[in-house]
Amino acid sequence: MSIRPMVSALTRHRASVVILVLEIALTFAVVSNAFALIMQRVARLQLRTGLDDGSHLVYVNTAGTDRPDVGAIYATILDALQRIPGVLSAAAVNTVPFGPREGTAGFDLDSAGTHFGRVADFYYGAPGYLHVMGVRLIAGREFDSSAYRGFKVMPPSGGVIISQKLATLLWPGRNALGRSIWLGKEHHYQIIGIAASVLRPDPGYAGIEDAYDSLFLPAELGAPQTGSYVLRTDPARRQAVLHAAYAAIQRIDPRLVVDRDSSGSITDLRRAFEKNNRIMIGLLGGVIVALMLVTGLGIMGLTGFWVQQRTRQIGVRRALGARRVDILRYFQTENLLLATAGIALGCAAAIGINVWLMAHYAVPRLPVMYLPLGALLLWGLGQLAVLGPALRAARVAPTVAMRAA
Amino acid sequence: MRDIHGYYLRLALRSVARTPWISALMVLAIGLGIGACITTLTVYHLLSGDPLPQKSSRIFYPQVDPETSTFVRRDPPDLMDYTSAVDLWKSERADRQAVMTNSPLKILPTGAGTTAFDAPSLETTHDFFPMFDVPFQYGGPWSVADDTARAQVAVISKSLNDRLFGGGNSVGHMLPLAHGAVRIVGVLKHWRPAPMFFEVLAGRYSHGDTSGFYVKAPQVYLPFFTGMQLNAGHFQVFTCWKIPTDTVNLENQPCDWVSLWVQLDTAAKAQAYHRYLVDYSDQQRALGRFTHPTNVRLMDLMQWLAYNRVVPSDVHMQTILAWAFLAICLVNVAGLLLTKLLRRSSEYGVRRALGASRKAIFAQCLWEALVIGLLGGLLGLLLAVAGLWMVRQQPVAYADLAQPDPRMLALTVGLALLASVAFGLWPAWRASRISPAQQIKAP
Repeated sequence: MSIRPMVSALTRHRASVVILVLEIALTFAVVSNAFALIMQRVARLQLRTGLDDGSHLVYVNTAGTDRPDVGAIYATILDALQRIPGVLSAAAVNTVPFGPREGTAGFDLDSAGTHFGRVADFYYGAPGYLHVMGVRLIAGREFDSSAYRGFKVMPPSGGVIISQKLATLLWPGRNALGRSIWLGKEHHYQIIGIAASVLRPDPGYAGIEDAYDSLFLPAELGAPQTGSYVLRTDPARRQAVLHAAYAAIQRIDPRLVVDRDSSGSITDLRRAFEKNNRIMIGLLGGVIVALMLVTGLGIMGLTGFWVQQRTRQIGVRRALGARRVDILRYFQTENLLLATAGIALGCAAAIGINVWLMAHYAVPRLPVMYLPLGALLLWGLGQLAVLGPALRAARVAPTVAMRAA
Repeated sequence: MRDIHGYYLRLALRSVARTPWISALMVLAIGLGIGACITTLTVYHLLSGDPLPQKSSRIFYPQVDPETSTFVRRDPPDLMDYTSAVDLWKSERADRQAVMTNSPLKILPTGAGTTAFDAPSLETTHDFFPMFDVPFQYGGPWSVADDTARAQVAVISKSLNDRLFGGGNSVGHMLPLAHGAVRIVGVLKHWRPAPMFFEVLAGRYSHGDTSGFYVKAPQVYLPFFTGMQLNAGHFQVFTCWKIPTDTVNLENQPCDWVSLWVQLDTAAKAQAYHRYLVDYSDQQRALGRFTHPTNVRLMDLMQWLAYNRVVPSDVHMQTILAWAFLAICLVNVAGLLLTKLLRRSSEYGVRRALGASRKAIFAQCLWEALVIGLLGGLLGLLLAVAGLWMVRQQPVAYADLAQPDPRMLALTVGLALLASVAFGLWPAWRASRISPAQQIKAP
């Protein structure tokens, strides 16, 4: 099929052609950027806790107590929690992945403080907490039982277990075991173990590339940072366990405040954390669908008008021997041409919008792959929208040419 | 003149009715676009508003750099250490000044079957209430003397008063806390500053997720130094530049955790206060308490909010998306309208031949665009009300703020008119260029 007569026919509808190409271009630009934003949000839903069977865990966050017998109170509570049916094991901790931030600190790699390391989150817990949480050790060893000591703010020194991703970021290509980190001159810890990367408590606080910057320290029951609890449960009984835990704590010390908003199964905490992203994904998806619908209907309307306007010409072509399929192909090819022009223009607009967004917001570069994907989508949409009017054109009888004046 | 336009309006309505499907499609596209725009603009407007419109330009947020670590910040920390904040507060160089910190405060209700709960509290000084025009239902703020006397008193919010006292006048009643009770001296009216500006900080570390700035106001207000005794160990700390030796009594610890707000009624006073901050910082360096180069700031309220980028980036993104959506809808409608008008070319040809001017054809076509635009605006308004309802169902701190407001109506009308002109102008112009002779010749 020759393109030339098609182009010359289109130049007779310059205004509508310009509008149609513009609409396809804008739709392409917005849809491909919206799609990139969706994928960015989806990446944020892919965070793994890094814990063995993390979904079996339930976290109970209390505000702690300042009673003098704090160690005994916590021990009583822990004992009661372990007796709850459905609880397999329990330990005192500060927080869990998707829980509240309880120990964010920046540290140095030397005592003089000249080599800044990173800002990371510290997990603390009383004996057994690594097992209850399901922290998997990759290299090195766990804490000795004597390492679980009391302290006022942070243990002054001792061993620390580090998340593998964090170790790689700090000492790429080298072994982290045996190295030390400093928090001022008074607090320094030697790395005795490397754990499979465990997610930070509030991964939204950091960028996604920093989400696994976590460390583990030991604490005696009753020390600061041991006022909350992690329970490994039979997953089917998570909700019952949670309510039994609230009741047990209330019974043992009615003055102890449990923060129910930040307590729950890790699955629930994760869902709450992800809610904003899910809403945004839904919204962006909705915009894409609405745009495709509006644009598709627009193409249908315009093509329908052209078909109507050219009824006589179609009749003439039919009378001169054109088959129905030729007419059909004509309108399909015409749409392909217009869509291609729109997509070419839209590519430039898509990149422009992306560059502008990147300059103003935390938006990643538009993956080049999305451009051909978006093109396929709009070509498909155009063909779908043009099908009805084109079929109508193909049904035009040759006699129309003669009937008309 | 009016008659002529009335005639055009009737023609436009007839034309809309004659092509119901195309017209409905156009109204739907405009409605969707305008609905999305009004929804996001309303949210954006509510979140970017001035929480203290009558005096925000006279409210300032002083900052100094009290840190002594080797790491020197480009911008001073978002909060002060205790000593600096209290020194500056005591100096009373501003027209009004209040130090503040916040904490969860444990309340122990006395009734049977009640459980202890944490209420968000603000520990501050007397000037907080007059400086921020805080409205009282019963009683009033504590006195200036109460600040330093560590008076065991409190002001509570309407919501806490409703919860504990059934909304009655609770002034004089005791509020039972973990370490003794405090006497209630004032109960606030409903007070919902948005954002909760006096606790806005660290926005630049939030990766755009700043919806937490729109939480509801604290429920308990304690005199600052009373709070230091009653709730030690629970105050929100911005950062510590060295590991503190004590996390309960923070008064002498190397930590940033106290904020200071001041009211300065003239520009000259603001300048003088800025000089005073520089002098204070220099003096503290001379004393050896500060080690970093003098780095002070004195932003006014709206500057501080802008610095913290209070409007969540999701809201920005939604607003941008809505405008892009509207733009595409407008292009779409322009295409359809053009088609529709050109389809009636012969009608215009006849009218032109009978003596109608190009201007008349143009006006008639623009009227048709206007009718479609206004119908679309009406649909958009309904969709915006539905959109705001959807925003209110979201689990974000500002959800309750997303209420339709009367300005929305004006905005919708404005946007509908603007949209009509945007999509109607070109098709109308094109239709008015139709040459009469050719159209009459055609079948």
